[in-house]
This record gives sequence, structure tokens and C-alpha cells, in this order.
Amino acid sequence: MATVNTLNTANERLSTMSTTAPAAGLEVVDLGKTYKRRGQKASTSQRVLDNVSLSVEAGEFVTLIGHSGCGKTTLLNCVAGLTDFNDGQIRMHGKPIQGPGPDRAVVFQHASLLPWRTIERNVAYGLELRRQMSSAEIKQRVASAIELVGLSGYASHYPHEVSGGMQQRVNLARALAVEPDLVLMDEPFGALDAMTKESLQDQLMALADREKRTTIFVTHDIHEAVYLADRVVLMTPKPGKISKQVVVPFGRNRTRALTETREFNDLVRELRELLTESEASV
Amino acid sequence: MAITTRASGNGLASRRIVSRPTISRSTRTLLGAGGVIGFLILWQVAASTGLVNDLFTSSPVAIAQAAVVLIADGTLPAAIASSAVVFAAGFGISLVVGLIIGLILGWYRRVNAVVDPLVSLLYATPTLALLPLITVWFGIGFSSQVVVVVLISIFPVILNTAAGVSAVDREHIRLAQSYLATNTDVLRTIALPGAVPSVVAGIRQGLTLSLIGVVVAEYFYGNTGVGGLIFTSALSLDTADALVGVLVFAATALLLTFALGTIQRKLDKWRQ
Repeated sequence: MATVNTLNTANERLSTMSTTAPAAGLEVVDLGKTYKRRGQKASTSQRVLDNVSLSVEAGEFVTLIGHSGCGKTTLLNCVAGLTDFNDGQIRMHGKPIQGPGPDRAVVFQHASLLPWRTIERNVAYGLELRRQMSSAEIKQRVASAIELVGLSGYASHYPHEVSGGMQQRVNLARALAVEPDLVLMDEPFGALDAMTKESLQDQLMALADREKRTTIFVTHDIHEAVYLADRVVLMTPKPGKISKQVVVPFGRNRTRALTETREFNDLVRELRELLTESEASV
Repeated sequence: MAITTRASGNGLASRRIVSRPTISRSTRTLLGAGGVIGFLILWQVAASTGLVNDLFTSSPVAIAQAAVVLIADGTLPAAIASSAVVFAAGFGISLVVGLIIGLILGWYRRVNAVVDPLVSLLYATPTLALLPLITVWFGIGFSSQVVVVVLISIFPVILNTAAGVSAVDREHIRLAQSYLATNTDVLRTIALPGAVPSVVAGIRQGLTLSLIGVVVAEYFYGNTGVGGLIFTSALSLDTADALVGVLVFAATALLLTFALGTIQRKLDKWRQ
């Protein structure tokens, strides 16, 4: 069990960290997106993102949470450069993004592995497409990414030969292998069973503490959102916008034991109430 | 539950509950061989005892003797060589042209929109209906034979290749996009490898159809090769000789299917 003292010092460290170097991270400014659907009689339009502003500091782990349809995945896709938007701007390192970029990598909701490639070659996929490294360098980088997610010994397996949890670790390793400044994770543990999910959360946490890679993690699991995040960002639908941001005061190097504490569960409850309220008000 | 009620003695006890044990591979092979041998023995006995007229049915022994003669006098090797050339040329063209057309149709949607109705129309046309016209266009001979083989075998190659290439997983496209892939990258790393099972299935169909094409082409144009051997032998009631030719085709089909099956398993080992 972490004592209250270490929690507090960790929180101070976090708060000092978040005030430095604003240009080092991601800035989303007044983002707006409208889906237009051409119906048979009339065109309907839906504001999926409205006035969304969010900044994420270097090294920060932010979870995006909200009910389905609140635009959290759309926001993530906009940041990834996979979806275009109508208004506002997204800046990485102070520069507006135009489509996908080598500074960002996505961990997809479904593992999206290429079934004809071995795990090793799946992890290498992003590096291969960038064409910046020799195959020897790629091999080395892939090996360390595979080790990082604990899949050494499975390098030459095909995706169908490993479990769903392992496939998601390959998905993560593929993103980490390109060493992005920002990792974008889209409900990567949503389809896994509870036990696999917890174990992957712990592994991701350990990894995040060690790598200090800036991460945005989309989820609809409040427990997960609090457990993983430095900051939880709540989104509400119709129109999709950010309704609240909560700094999680537990510092890093968390363990499962944290989830048993009153502070943790109070925070989970508080967020759940906020989400329920927002749902009711729509 | 079903097992306990069986003991209740109300007449159900005498019932034979269904049981379907699996049989081992070797047992299967043995039984299969037994079936073939049993059929050959029956055939031979029926022919020898005059139960059937061996002028029409021939017999296994007569066929074996005919085969020895046909091989010894060089008739069969020459016929096989001649058929092999027609087969290789026809199937080769189907393979190369079919793969290229299939790839283009699968990858370029606009080309597909233009060409697809034409391909479907041609595919729907019974090739045999075109035989007289092919004679008009290409004469009687080797080129007509090859044209027939191509027309019969090319469509499965085209259609399966096109289907395989165009059936790209949207999630894989997004994955590729996120790593800044070009169109060519997507073709090379996603569409083509993903199409392999479908392409191989198309080639397999094309292969079998090519053999049929060879037989038809040889019957219709010049009675050459093994097809010609069957045709002329049958006309002169040399049923044994004709059946030797039929066996050659059967064996070839089995051999090619087996070989391609092996290749297919190798290429498909990533599929569950």
C-alpha cells in the first residue's frame, strides 16, 4: 500500500510537470466536426464534436471517457489524422497536423493484425512502411518492442495462434515500435475478458511508468479510466464535447491495491455520477 | 441424463443409442483402396464371365494390356506430349492473363465498373456454343485448341483474383493509413497477401477446367493428343484404348489437384 505521503509528493511532481513546456505535447483547439447524412427527403447533420479543447503534456497519460456517441473515438481519430474535422485546429509540438504523422501511433480497438504476418512481422509493419531504417535496425527495434510487451518466444507465431490478450499486446507493440511521441489507444481492452483486461491494464501501467510516453486512452470503463490515468477527461454527447477534466491524485507506480482504497473508489463513484448526470441532461 | 433413462427398463434399454466413432486415417485409406480394388475385381469377373459385353466395357486386364502396347509403340507418349502442350499453353495463358485482369478488376473500381458486365456476360456464355465460331476465327488446329482451353478456364482465375484483391479489410486500410502507407503499399502489403487463398482457389478451378478444355478441344479440332486417342479409339470400338486415355486424364487431374492442394496448405498456414 502506498502511503498518503508518497501519493502527495507524486501528485506535486505531476502538477509541476504539467506546467512545463506546453509546446511539447498535443493541443486541440476549438475542434468541431459535423457529420452530414444525406437522407431521402432531407439532409440531416449531427454535431459529433463541438468546441473541443484539450491539451496533453509530454509524458502525460490521459483517458477519454464517456457514453457511446459522445465523440471520444472521433476525437481520437481526429488527433490520429484518420478523420477530418470542420473547425478548429490540432497541434503537435506547436504545429498543426495534416493527416496521420510519424509522431503519432494508434493502438486500434480490434487488434487489426495482418493474419498472414507473424507477430514479429506485424510489429515491424509500421517501421517497414516508414522506410527509414535498415532491416537489421528494424529487427532489433521489433525484438525490443516484443520484449517490452512480454511476447518474447511468440515472435514467429501467427496471430490466430495466440490469445486475444496477446493480440492486443502485439497491437500495442506495433505502435510502440515506431517510438511515437503520442500513443493513441482506442478502447483496446474493451473486448477482453475481465481477468485478461486487468492483467493488461497492469502491464500497460508498468510500461507507461517506464517509458513515460504521452498517451491518450479512450475507454467507457470508469474503473479503467481512473486506474490508468494522470487525468480523466469526461465527454458528453449531442453535441460531443468535453464536460469535465479530473486530475487523478494517485501518482504513478500504482498497483492493483490502489483499486481497493476508499480514495480510488470515491473518485470512481464521483465520475460515475458526473457521467450519469450528463446522460440524464441530454 | 439420456444414459440413466436407458437403464429404466421400459423398453428403451434395447435401443441402440447412436454412436459415430471416428475412423483413423490409415483405416480410411485401407477401406478406400479396398473399394477401388473390389470394383476392379467385380468388373474383371463380370467381363470374363460374359456377364457384360467386354466389347463395350472392356476389362481392367484388357486396359492394362492396351496401356502396355500403347506405351511400347510410342502412341501414348506422343499423345500425352501433344496434349501437354495444349494444356500448358492454354492454362499458362489463363493463369498469366487471368491474374493480371483479375488484379486490375479487383484494384481499380472504375475499370471494374466498365469491364465487369462484359466479363460476366462472357462467363455466362457456354463456351461450347462458341466452338463453331472459334473454328471460323482460328481455323482447325492448335490455336483453336488453346483458345478453347483459355475460354473454359480463365474466368475462375479472373473472378477469384478480383474478389480476393477487392475484399480488403477496412480496418487494415486504416492501419496502413495511420502509418502513412501509399496506395502501392496497401496493394503490396494488404490486398495481395490477403488475396492469396482466393487466388489459389481460382487457380485450382482453372486447372481442372483446363483439363476439360483440352479434352473438348481435342475432340473438336483435329483429334490430336490423348483426347483424340479416346475419340478415335471409341469410334472403332477399341474401348480398352479409349479407357487408357480416360485414365490418363483422371490421373493427371488427381495429381495436379494434389500438388496444388499441397501448395495451398503451405500458403494458407496463417489461416485458422
